[in-house]
Amino acid sequence: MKKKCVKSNNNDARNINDVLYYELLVNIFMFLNVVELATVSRVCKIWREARSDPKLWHKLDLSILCNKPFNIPRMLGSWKDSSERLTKVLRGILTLSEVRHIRCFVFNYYAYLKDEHLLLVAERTPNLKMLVLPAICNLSKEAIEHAISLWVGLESITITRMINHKDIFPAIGKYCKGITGLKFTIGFEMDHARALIEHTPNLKFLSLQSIIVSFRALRCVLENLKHLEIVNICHSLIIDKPDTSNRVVLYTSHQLQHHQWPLLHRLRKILTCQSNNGCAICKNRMAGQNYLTKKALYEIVNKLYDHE
Amino acid sequence: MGSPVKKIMLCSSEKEIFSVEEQVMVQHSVIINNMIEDGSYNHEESKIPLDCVDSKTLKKVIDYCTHHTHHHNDNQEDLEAWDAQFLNVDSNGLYDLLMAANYLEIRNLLDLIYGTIKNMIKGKKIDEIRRIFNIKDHGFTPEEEEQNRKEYPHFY
Repeated sequence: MKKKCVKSNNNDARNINDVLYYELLVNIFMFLNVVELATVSRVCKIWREARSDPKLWHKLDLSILCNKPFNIPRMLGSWKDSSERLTKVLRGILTLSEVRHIRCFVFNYYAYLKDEHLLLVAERTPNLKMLVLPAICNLSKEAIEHAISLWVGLESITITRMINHKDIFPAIGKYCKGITGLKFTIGFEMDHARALIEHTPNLKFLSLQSIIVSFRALRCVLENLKHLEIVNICHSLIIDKPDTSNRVVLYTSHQLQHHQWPLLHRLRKILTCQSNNGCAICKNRMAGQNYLTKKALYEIVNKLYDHE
Repeated sequence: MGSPVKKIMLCSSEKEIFSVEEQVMVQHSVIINNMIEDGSYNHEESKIPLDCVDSKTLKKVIDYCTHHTHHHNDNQEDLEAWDAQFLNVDSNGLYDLLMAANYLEIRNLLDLIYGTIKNMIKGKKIDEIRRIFNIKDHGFTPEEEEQNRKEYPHFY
């Protein structure tokens, strides 16, 4: 990299563009959000060029919508009755963005997502590789399939609780041949395991971090997804019903590893919480504090396993 | 006590020599760390020429590195207060520091300056930004400028 060297002996305020060169401007712009970047692009031609740098647009994270001037409340399902407003905001943001450079799109976690929002984003971001879905949404099977068909380059998706696996996985299997990573933020059960085996056979990275995981489902993907390299089960609670009785066994990810389970060791890497005395987060969870009461936990276990 | 503190020589654009604890610069500057590691700095006779950095700026950079080496255990608030005071300079001083930190690859000082410039941009209107950074020639055609002002009046 050539380093520009400017000497000046007068004390008048210098024009920033006589001093800073392109890379430094881009580095400063890395600290700005999409609205601020829109302002910056109209300051001067040099700034406009710098703010179009692909580095700045790699990831568009809509968590900024919780801040001014949008102020989406940090409550699940926010703006449920303001979907037109959300459409308007999304359209505005996409218009101000260098959409062709966006590789990773993170929906606002709290905003209530409907078909029109998903499709609007899918139509404008054809080069997406990573997608993070919001917590609460109401999406039709058709909209999901259409959106996924526009995102053929997707490599990784974060699946949240409101996405029906029966809607999304067949579409992923059909259109996104390059999918190698999935993250679940909902309980991982046998239905999910079967969907992965059928529709994403080339999966390499699976994150089941901080969720409840059915032992049987985990074993099933480990046995059947031959390309799986890394599984993240940090802070997860793995539940098992080893026999036909009502007996339920709970493991933290760390305990699971201690079982010397041969399947786990076939992976290139298994990510667990790294503490010999047990991770504090997991301990709390085992004690049923801070997360779920024991009773609620057992209800979930029974539900998961009745399903199968 | 052990051996005397190892020093290195830095030479500003005005050819003024600054003698600094080696450890201070090695910890902060990627470039100087590399020079020491690969043996290209000879303690007997080398001076590191910094043709892009004037004495005033170099002195400040050394101050920064020295403070952050000797006070890295201070609580966060104290360090931030010190940094804020340190960066209480005019925009020319800020640019000089940025160029020097970039030249010497001092990551934490760079981030600090980026953050300061970011704050000078954040929440400002375009006319204000142009004034702050003394951008007189924006390079747009009158038509483009008019179009922008019409389309996004709240930005100006």
